[in-house]
Amino acid sequence: MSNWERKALNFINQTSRWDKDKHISSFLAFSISLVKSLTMADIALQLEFEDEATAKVKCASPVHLNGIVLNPDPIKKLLYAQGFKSIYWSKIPPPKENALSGILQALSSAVIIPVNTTPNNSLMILGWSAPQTFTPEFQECIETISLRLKEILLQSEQQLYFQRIATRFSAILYTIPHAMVFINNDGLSGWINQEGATLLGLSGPGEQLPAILSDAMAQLRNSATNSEDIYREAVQLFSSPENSITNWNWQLENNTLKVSCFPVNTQQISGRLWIFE
Amino acid sequence: MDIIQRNHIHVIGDLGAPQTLVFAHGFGIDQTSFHHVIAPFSQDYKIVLFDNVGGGKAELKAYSSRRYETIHGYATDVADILQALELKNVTFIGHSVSGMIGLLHSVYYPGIIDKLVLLGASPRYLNDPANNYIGGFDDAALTSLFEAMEANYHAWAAGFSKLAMRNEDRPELAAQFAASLQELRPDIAIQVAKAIFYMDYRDELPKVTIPTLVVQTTNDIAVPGVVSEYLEAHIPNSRRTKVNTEGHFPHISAPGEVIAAIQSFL
Repeated sequence: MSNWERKALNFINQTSRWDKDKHISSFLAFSISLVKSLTMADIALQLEFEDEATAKVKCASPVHLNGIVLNPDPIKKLLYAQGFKSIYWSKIPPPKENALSGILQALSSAVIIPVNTTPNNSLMILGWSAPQTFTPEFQECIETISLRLKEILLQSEQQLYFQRIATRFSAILYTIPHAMVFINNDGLSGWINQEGATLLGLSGPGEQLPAILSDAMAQLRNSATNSEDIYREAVQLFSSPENSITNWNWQLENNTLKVSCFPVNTQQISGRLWIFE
Repeated sequence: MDIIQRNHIHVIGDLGAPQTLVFAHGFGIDQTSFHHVIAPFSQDYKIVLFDNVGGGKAELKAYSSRRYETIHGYATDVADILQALELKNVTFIGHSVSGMIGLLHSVYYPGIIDKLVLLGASPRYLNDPANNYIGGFDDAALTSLFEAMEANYHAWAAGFSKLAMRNEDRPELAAQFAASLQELRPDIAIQVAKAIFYMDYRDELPKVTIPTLVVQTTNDIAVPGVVSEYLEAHIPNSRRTKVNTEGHFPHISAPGEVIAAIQSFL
């Protein structure tokens, strides 16, 4: 096994361990730093195409390069001209012919690796102060690393995307003044907001087993003064999975709840959403 | 997008002159703020004036909240402008934030700007007590500044303009600045102001390799005197000069002093 094959394997091994142990937000920065170390580059960074006017440096080592903005169009032209393959510059072109000159100052050689993960395409860029010769073994190592990097980038983007969604929806559902309960038809998962947890006497909002949610809702229903009416409506409601109900009165000792229950059916999830007003 | 149109660029003076002066305005004003400064240079220099995207008559649709999230986006704009006009032998005169924009350009695109003039510039506005750095603002001051901007931008602009302009005996100057601030789209003004007031480019100062003149005013709400001293101490081959006027806009309140300072440096 050649030195460069070992380095490619080393990269895959180390990034496999990392994604199990550490937080996703630093995963890409760690991976880029690792490539820099393995290739003994002087700079390593991600250049993300954020919009039509912005290609921005991220996860840079050294960190002072972070935030530099380049024009995306000339860089995209360069990538297009090279068939979106990795570009190996043993000698970096002069600034006038080099769309990346703003981040390749005082360097002799560079490698530009497209990492396409639509919609957030980006590049990884490595640079060396001393002139480099890029052997076929080195290039093979870079291609292996770039495949793993694409996986890492996809994984990071997806995780961060889901984290943002979760944060947003948690904030929205926390703010809604109604008690909400979702029970998944899989029988394994359910969810409740803060108002719902308070109403049902549960410890807090978030994921709950459907059995716990069902028990708590049954207790609430049984405590109603019109529990027999509720039972009759429930029989009707559950006679078909498509049925829904609104303005269903649950008369408790101190107040009356207006209850709604809707089927939730998407490609990914099916269950019932309960809303108590 | 056409760079000339994007930045509302004007090239005046001696168009065949070997040397060029590029004047870059600060936050809340535009290229017309240099109106009283450029005349003495127009015989001997090519003069380039432009508006930063988001201000003046720059192309509003060119504004990208991502590109201008930090002032690096504006440094890239300067690179575009100097390249589009194929300029050489450039002296860049940057007021306020544009001083740092020109400085960043000189670091990341070396060999194009020959000399820098920093008018009321600062590498960091937020104090950094751990490193004994005084920028002029603490966290609470910036928080309340942005709360005021977000609560009622136009009212904030009216108040801030007086504090920043000083020269109370000439209230028309503050009124002009207020009007200019109020022409900005508030969401853009707030984002750009955040990019400015929370920036920290102190580490870039030692990387400057070109002669630099730091022009300091007195009683400047945005840039205390110690910041100008900091710039002089940390930018190699720099020197500092004081102009005899108050406020953050010496080129508006005392153009003669600024002209003399620039002439002594060229």
